[in-house]
Amino acid sequence: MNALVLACADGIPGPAPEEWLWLRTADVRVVRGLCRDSDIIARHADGASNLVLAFCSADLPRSPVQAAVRRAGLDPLGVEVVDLRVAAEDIERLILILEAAVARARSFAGSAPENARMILPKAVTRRSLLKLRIAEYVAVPSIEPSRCVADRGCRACVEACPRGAIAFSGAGVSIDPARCDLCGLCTTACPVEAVVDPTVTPAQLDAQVRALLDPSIGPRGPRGILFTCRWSRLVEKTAGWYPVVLPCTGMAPASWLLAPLLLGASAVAVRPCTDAGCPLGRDEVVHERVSFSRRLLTAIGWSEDRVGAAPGDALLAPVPGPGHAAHDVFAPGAAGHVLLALAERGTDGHAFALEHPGSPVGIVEIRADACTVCGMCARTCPTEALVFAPRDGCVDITFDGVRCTACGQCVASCPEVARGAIALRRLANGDVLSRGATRLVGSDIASCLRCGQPVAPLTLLRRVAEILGPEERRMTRLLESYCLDCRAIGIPVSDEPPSATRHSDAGAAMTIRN
Amino acid sequence: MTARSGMNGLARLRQGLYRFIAAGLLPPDSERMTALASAIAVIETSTINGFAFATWWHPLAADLDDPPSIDVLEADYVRLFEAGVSEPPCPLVESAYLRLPGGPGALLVDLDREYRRFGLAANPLVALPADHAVLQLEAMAALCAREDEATERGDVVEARRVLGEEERFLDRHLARWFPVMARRGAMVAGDGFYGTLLTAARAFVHHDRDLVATLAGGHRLEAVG
Repeated sequence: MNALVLACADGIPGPAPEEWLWLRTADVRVVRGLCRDSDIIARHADGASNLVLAFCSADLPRSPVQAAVRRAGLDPLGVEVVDLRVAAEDIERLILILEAAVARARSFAGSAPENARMILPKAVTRRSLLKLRIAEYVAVPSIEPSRCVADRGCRACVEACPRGAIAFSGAGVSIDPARCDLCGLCTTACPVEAVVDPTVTPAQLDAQVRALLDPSIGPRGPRGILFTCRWSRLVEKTAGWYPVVLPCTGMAPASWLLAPLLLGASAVAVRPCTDAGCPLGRDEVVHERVSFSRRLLTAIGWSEDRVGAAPGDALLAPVPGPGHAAHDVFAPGAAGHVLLALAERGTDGHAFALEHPGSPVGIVEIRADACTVCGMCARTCPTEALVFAPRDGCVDITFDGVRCTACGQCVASCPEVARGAIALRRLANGDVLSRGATRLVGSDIASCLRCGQPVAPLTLLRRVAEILGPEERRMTRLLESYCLDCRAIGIPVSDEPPSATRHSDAGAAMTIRN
Repeated sequence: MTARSGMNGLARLRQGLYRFIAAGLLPPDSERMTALASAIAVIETSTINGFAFATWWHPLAADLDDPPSIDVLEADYVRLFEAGVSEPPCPLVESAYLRLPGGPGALLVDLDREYRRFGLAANPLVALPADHAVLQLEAMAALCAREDEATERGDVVEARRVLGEEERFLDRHLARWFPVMARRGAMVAGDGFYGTLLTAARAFVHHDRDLVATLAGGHRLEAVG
């Protein structure tokens, strides 16, 4: 089975397009009247592995198209739709856009039943609604439980949702589709790709952008990538600029604005869906991320004009380099790698440091005098940038900057945050990103007097003793001397001070029996 | 379910699908499998493609075209739903998916009360507990049939009242646990008939909850009606 592009002949310039319009990666059928008769889709698409529909109008009712796609045995959420007007009479441009749409369609990994949200027809009577025969759907994100780390305390998606549509309960994270405004912020806020919109996965973006930047197809000359909004009615025809559609441009982290430069793009732009700005109010977020990207480019020795809020008039030559990148550059954990790879093509290597609210990476700072080394931050960290690493009677908390997505879950989970134990700085620092895991803080671990098993870090026990106060000396001694299992069997604890003591590496006042 | 019965009305289609799933989740026998194969042929020619869950129903038709032997189906059924010594991976009863400190008694009483309110009673020949998926699916099918009758005779008020009952029953019972069970079951079952059936059933029940909430939602209807 091959991928198929089904194009409306009425929107393709030039005579007899069925004779010259062909693609390397898909079969092409050019059909007259495709935009007027959705039954054509079911007839032609039956047996295709993936489908791209190229329409000459953006105002087609979606429900009959979706029904026809289902009749052909395909999932409508996996079908790419191209507006033929973006080709602007340029045949090579049309071929490139179609090849890229095929690449994106081929990367569709399937949807879940929870990804389809029904939309009511715009004008129906009550009676006809009860006899509804066909419905229209849009894609909504869903949670992939096997990847979700909410059980470790992560609430990145819950915090990111501006509509309060995502909630955590004992059964895990759930999305209320009725409250979701389809902005996609949750999908990029999730550091482990557990929130999935099957129509805009990192793999799909990667495939489409790489195809759009493939120099072996399409018009010659530098190319720009323009991230546009799904709801935009604007048709992008500017020569050299190629649209990549997102549910909302506000979802794109700064690393997405920079990643295409690694793949051979000359420039990247983000445009809101209307001239009046984003109706969902994400303009400030977009502005912040564009601003970070521009300042980072300056910091590494490139022109800031390579990233902007609208397509520029003249495209610069592409950033020198191999024109490909090893990492899946749109994956949530890839931001650090993208910044490093871009800096390596700049003038000063990894010598850059930029603190900015739009930074897609961060640096975790822990104050040793306030941190108890309880490990909650590392337990919660979805990307394992922070790691709780026990070794030989002590424990370290380490930090690997290149894994950090600045999600802030470590700060949210810290029980000592009020004392300033932990802080996240939105700082992109080349040295930190390239350094690998380094120790932030550590503590000796108290061992159980009875069985020898580890009890807890000494710094944590010291803090517990401080909270309980001197009147709870016996309780403190029990907690610091025995593990949970041995405490459960009821060991008597003396009021007397311990006969032998061992000090923590932090020089704690609290002591523990050997 | 026969071709003569037709499935063009939305409520009629939903009734048929609920009954199909209920029959599919009874212990397999060859007569029932033949009936399911005939039923899926009718479903495939219905308006099902107008709805998103159709994507997960097409593979069922292919499976029932060439169904596995009853021996294989029986083995799968026992493994998934009825394993003897230990608890099966996906029991077909609601109480298995809720944390009920006092046991399932209150749940069963509540369900019994719901069925009686709908004017329904479990067939005494079918020895299934009140919280069994088959009974809950059949209850929804009966409500859909009532909604269909009301719609056909133009009684929008009664149709909306029944829709309200459906919404309540889905929210309180079926949609609360069935998709969880079906997801788990499909993962255990893999590509076999029960994997396909459970995925199709999960897609339909999930969709139906949204659909019924939308249709029953007065504020949205007021806006368009």
